[in-house]
Amino acid sequence: MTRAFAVRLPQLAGVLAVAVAMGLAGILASRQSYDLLRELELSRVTGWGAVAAFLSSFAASPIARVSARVSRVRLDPAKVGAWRRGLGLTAAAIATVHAALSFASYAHWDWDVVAGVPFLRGGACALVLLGILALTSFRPVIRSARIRQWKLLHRLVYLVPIFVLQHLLLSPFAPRLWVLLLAALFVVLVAGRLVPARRRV
Amino acid sequence: MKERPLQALLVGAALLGWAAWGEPGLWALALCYLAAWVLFNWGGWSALALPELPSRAVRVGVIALVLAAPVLALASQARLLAVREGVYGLSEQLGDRLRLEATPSIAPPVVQADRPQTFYVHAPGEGAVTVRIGDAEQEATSLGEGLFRVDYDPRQHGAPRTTAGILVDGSRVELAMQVVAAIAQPRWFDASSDRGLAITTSEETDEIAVVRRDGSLRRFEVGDGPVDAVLFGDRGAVVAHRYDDDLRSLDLETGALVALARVGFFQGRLAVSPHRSTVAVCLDGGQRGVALVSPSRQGSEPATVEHVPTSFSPDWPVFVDEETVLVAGLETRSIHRIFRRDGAWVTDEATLPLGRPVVAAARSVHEGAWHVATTAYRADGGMPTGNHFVEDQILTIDATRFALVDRMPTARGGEAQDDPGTVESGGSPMGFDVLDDGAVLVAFAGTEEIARVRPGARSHEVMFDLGATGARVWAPHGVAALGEGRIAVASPSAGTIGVFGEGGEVVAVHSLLRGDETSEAPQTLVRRRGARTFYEATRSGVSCQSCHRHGGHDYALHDLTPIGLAPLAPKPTLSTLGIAGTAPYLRDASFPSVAALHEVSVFRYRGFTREEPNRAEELEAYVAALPLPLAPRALEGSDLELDRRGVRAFVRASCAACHRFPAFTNLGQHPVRTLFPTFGKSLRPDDVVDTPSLFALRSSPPYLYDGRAATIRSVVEDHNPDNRHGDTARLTPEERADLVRFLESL
Repeated sequence: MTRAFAVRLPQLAGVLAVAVAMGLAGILASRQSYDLLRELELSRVTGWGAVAAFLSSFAASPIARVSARVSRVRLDPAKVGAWRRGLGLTAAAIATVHAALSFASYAHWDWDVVAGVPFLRGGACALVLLGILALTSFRPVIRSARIRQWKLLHRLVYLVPIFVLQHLLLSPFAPRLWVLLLAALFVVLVAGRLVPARRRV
Repeated sequence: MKERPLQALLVGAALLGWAAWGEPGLWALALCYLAAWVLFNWGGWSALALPELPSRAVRVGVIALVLAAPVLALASQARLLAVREGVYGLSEQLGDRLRLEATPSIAPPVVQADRPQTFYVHAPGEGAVTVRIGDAEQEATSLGEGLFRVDYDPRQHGAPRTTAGILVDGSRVELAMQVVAAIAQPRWFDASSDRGLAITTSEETDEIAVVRRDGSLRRFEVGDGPVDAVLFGDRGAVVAHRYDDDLRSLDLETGALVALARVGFFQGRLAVSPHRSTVAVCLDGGQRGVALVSPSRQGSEPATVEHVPTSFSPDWPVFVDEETVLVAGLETRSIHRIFRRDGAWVTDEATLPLGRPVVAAARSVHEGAWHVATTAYRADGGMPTGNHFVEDQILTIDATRFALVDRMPTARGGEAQDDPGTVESGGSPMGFDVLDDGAVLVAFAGTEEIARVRPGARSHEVMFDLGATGARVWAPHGVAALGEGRIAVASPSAGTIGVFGEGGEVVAVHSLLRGDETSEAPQTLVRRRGARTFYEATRSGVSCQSCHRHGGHDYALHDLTPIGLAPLAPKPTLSTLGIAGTAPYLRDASFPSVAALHEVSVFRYRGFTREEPNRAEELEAYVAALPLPLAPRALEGSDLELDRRGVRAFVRASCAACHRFPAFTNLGQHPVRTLFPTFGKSLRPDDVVDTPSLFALRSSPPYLYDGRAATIRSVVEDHNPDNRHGDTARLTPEERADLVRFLESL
């Protein structure tokens, strides 16, 4: 596998993941005969798809650090970075699909409802943050916008799980046990990101 | 500049900006961080040189100081932030939701030790389920779609345990249940001042109490759920039972209880005609109405029974003469008249609208006048929808002309009031009797007073304040004139009956507490104190009871728009019966617990004049123990195949997506505009509706978030234009009928 292909692999995987999420959502939704349930199925599958992609992206660095400590297998930081970026872009893409579908169906294009109801507002905030992070993940954009403090901007990623969890904890249908497990996972991953960093000081 | 101090500075600036802005939202914090970053990135602030600090400890200290001020400022807004972001009281919501989402699950999670109840079990994919709530294992009835039903009766299946054992596919799961012990709660009297005695019932402990002028008390054990008793004949009484289909007579000398006539289950209040030829029994089972029972004069012949069906739940019947009965309709918030025409009893089409349902009424018509109490009045029968609008009053009805002739607001201030507008007298008139001089005797549950209203007077005259007597007689319900200046007062919350002189002299106070209650004093006393608070008037005159009639509801709408905000739709009062384990509460899910609702009485209604340190917890304990009304089906039976068809229709219409088994709610909240796009256009975008449980749906009209549907059928057929409140468009007319029948059976 060439280095160029290795760097492009996460992007290809991301595109594939978006396609799979949309296809799966379509298949599952088509099995529902009731409009409302069809809308909910589309939202549900794409929403959890976005969560899974974001979780994977968020987990890339901690996994690399833990594997280096536990098994002494040092993953190539460039590859890890590429996967983190690719999965992050995937999360943003699926989240955009999720939001568009939900906005057009469940929310009836009613922006006031999205802004007024906490769980919808939380989801919208998570999407906006993911969008900012995604847009500033391309070198041409970073260069043309003269972004110097890129890392400080991308620390916004720590707010995304908070909004995601709020969105899920308050949404009418998300199984609460899954959400609690997800919250626990996020806590572990944040700890995994922070603890080694402190040790280096 | 090094990255780490810069990061701290950035976070500090974001927090400071957030605190200065004062917008309590997480989105605002994110925006502040972004704004701070923009300034750092493009505003040239990154060139800031932080002073060289001598050590790491000093550096940490400086960073802490920088962050301290905004963090403290924000901490002071933490509650507001939590409310704004919908996470206030999240732990209560999560607990209840997790319990319902796990399978097998059972609902409701509360088991009453004194009455039959129905439980639903959700065990998807299982063919057979066995449930143990008391001592006995019970085979649950499968309704299909993974839903099972168990009818439990402590008399048959043993006293309830603190866990329900559910046997599914050979393995047993133990689920925690809250056991509610039966506590004595004597309520309203029927009295004879000539004979110097009064009779009352304690439904929870299955007993009758007879109190006499000399202060003595005698108790009789009767059948299951005695709801009312009236004196009948020289030495007898007639007793109505909720869970017995026989109307029974009780011999007050021997205690013998014999069947008088079969009238049906779910008997309610009673009335006796002036010549004692007929007894009227309110019925609230599958066939609502009034049964008119005429016992034979000889005693050997069976009594004749005529059933007059009504379209409403009848309450507080009273005979005007031998052939005319007035009765209060709960759902209709009106007085109705039943009379004999051409030898048969019929219902008068004309009604006397009140605007709110009758809370209490006198047992008899005195010189043509009948006195009833309500929490508001509107002559056109419309709902006074003002924000918790309550105006306790006594209405005088000319029973012969069937017309309102006088109304007298009772809640008022006085010399002892500690604030302008404070109500200290006349809160929640709850019981009536007529004194020898024709004055009306009134018990005020909200302000714990006994008062009289003299003929022609414009206000009540307080005879004595129960609190000042030192007797443990709280929130009185029943009051009875025993003659010779003696007055009996019944207190369900304290479990006592007191006999007093006209000036409040204590003649006797009898406690109906049972042995098991005194041994569990801490739990039951908390419930009793909570009951006292439930009926107690706040300084504004409003009590929980004002709208939640005896824990239920007032069949009316209230405008609960917070002051200073755009209007919400007026919302129907929710019943508090059986709400344990269904957090969050209120139509808009704005309170995580019943205890938290105590804040409403403190901040909106100016609190209480009586000191009570643990009021919120006691109120919560009381409300959590309130039982759901039993569905008529549980005693009267139903066609199992029809029930199964109803469940199939329920699932086919996707009702179960939100009204999820077994509690018939997923405890989720929806923006009203997304659920009812057509109706919701005019509503505030942040108006959400909490998915209500469908238990006891039959007895909680009007329906939907703004009470627009008067019946369950109307919910399904008339008020789902967008087909987003269930896929009812998919159902055939037969399936809709099955669905409505099933919903009525819950």
